[in-house]
Amino acid sequence: MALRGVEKSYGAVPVLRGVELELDRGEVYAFLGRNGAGKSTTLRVVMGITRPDAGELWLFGERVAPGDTRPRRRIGYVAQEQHFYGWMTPESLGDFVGAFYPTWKRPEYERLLRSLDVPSRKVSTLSGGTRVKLALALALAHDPELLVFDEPTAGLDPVARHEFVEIVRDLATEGRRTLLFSSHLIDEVERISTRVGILEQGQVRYQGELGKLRERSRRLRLPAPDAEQFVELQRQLARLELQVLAQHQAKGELELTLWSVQPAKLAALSELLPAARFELLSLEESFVALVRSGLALTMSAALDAGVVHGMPVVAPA
Amino acid sequence: MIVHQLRLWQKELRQQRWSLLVAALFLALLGLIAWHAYETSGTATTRMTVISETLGVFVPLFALTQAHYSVVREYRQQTQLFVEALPLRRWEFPLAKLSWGLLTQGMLAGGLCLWVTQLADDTPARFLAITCTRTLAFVAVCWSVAFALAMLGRLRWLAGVTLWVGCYLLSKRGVELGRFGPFALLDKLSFPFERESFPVRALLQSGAVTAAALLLGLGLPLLHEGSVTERLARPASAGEKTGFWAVLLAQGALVYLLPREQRREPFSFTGAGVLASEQRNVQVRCEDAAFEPKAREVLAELEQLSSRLTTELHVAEPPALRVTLRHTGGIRVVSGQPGEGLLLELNLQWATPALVAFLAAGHSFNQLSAGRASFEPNRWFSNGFARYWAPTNDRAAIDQYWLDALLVRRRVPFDEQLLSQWERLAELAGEDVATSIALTLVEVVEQRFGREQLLQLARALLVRPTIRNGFDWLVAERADFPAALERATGESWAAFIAAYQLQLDAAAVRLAQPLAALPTLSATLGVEHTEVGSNLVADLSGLAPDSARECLFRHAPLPPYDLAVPSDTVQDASLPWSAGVASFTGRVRGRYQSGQRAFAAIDCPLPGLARYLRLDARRLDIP
Repeated sequence: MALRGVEKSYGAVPVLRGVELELDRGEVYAFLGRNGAGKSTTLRVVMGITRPDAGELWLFGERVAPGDTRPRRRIGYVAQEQHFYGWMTPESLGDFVGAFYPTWKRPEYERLLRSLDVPSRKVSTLSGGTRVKLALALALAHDPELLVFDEPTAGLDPVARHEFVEIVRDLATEGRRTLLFSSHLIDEVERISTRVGILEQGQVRYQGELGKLRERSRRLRLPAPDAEQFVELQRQLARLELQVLAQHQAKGELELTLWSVQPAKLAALSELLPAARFELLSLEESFVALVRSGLALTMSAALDAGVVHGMPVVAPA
Repeated sequence: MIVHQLRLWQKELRQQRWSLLVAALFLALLGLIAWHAYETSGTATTRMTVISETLGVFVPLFALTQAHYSVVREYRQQTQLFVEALPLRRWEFPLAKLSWGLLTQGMLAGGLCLWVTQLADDTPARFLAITCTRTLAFVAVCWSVAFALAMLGRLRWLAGVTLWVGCYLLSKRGVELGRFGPFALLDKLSFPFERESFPVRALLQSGAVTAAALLLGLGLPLLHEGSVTERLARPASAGEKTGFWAVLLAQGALVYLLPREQRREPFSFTGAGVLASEQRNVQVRCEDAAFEPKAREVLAELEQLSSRLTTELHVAEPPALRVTLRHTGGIRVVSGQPGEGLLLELNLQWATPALVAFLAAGHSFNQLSAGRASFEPNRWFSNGFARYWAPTNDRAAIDQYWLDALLVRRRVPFDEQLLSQWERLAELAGEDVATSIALTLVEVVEQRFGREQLLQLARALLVRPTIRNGFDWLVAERADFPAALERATGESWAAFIAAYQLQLDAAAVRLAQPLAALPTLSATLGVEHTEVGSNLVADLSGLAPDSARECLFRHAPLPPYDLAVPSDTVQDASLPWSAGVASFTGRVRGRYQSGQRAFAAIDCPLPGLARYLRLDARRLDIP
């Protein structure tokens, strides 16, 4: 699956601005991003529900023409909210949905319902978690090659979310299907995905492995410098090509969140600032700092080349 | 695509199966009611009226209901988002809903149509095709409009009411919506009877409305990838609700403030045989050139009437008068809104110019006063004044009416109460003779208070339009003639009636000779109980006629609460009085059940009298 230069606006509001994305078969890819970053729109473009203003969508090795619904038969989709017909039962819902998929397998669907513990009663009486499981059964019963999940666990309680993540992780480990999903829950992404894309304001800000995101960021704490020391600190950070994602000063201590951190740079900085303490950030802290900073980190290659522009270190008053 | 449509129809069928069942039962109920109305009306001539009567109610109601269940609920519950994620093109889903509605409504309406046409006596294939085309086109236009309104989500009520108000205002501005497209398709006058011509114009207009509605209904869910419909389907905010109410109130005010009645130009006769007045808005058409001299007399009479309405009663724009004179038939009057004119169809074999003038004046008063003139306590003044004032009456003609009054007084004692109750008087004397009595009362008014006072009363009671509000109903309409007379002249009703009795006595002396020449006939009405039921019985006696006399036994079931007997419920049974027979008994057998109450009257013609004389009239309890 590939998206090339996909753009989409709702009226005058640009939602996607040249989204580039490429997934290999069997890959588990997660979109991270804030609400309104464009995650759902990207997935809707993949599903063919939303038509992009510009750009290309490639699925299963072919470019998808606008309005072509055939590729959708090979995709399983779980939406953010489950708007099922409340008067239907899971079985009748399966009959309705299955009629649109040539590869639908009713026995498989029934097996999925049993294994996911979806009871046979009106959909309107099912809990939110069970509805998500039902959506998963509907998405899997026609044996799709690509699974697209749009924040399926949003609004679920922790137990239901945990159950769902476990099921998806099992699917991911099978390696038969490509899985593209969006979430703003870091731990969920961390448990399932092999690769992540961070989407912010309709652009992919980071694309790569989740572990690298954590490795490249550090929190630096040191006693608050005076003006001369601060100028020197700025000069040294620039020389080492370290970017500052965030800075905070309180109780006589300066706290900097650094990006583009590599072991060699870290060692050099430790020598220069012996009083400094370095802390490893959690994934969530790294994600938040990166998203807030407004950095345009397009590819991991660019990251390695250091082609990034961080916010300047502001001198303390 | 067809497979997808079938799958989506299957879903709609499962979703709406109960509402469809209820709709089918509702249709059957409406059909039965219309059928019963047809069977019992006595005036309907074809069963095809059942179709138009039933579908005129059912189709719009069902279209709105189905649009709510099928479209509004779908988008409000956002279940369309679920369907949109299936491998379907976006337009397939709304199209399936549209076609499903057309299919179900077309089947129900078409089914009724076919069923009734099968039961109708004579339904050739062309007539059947015309009827089915009208029905299906009506279904299409109703459903497409309901579908488009449903797609407007929370704005649908506002749009629907605005549409309705727009139609109402247009009709008030003189646009005849009844002849426009969808309304004309089920037109009660043409739907059951038009066997040859397809209503091409109505079909084209309906097609245009349908196309416009479809453009909106199918376009909205496709616009901006359904986001517009999605947003419209959300419940209205408090601010929006306030706005809606403001718009609705503004529309209500508009409806209230705009002139209620829109005058339409009176039509004009075309073709040969039409005589038109140059000065007044009067036309007379006669079917036969042989009638032309009489038609000219009628024209002159009506010209004079129209002129006097202006000069004497100060009516600036008297109604346009149109009269058709025929060889056959009776009297038919078509009266429109004020200013729209009158059409009278008359059989000139027996209708005199004086009668035409009387009828034209009476209906003109009714039209000009918007019904005030026919309000019951004023009715005798309206009738009497029309007969006295409108035609050119000479003394001999007026004495004929005095003769009528004297003959009635022989049987029914006149008092102030009876003479103030028109309906009671008309029941006892017969409406035509009661009008004669009214004429004599009007003449006495003129004799006692002068011509100008009489005309002032007529201006106040007969040509001043009612204003149709609560005050008018409570005060103005209740200002009946006795009260109006006392207010205008200072003379009480009792004193006036006493003076009238004196005039009657004087007339009895003046007309003693013709009165004595008239045979004295009498009748006694009663009820006869037999083993097989009750009969109305009339014992008639009097001077044996030289030739057979065709009397009438008139009877009707009495309405409850002692209301007046509606004239259209009275049935006439022939009661021939054979030559040389001095007395005989007539019967109406088995028409009334025990416990019922009936009105009965005997009317007989008398030589030398222009009208039937009522010999007896009673309200009878059937034991």
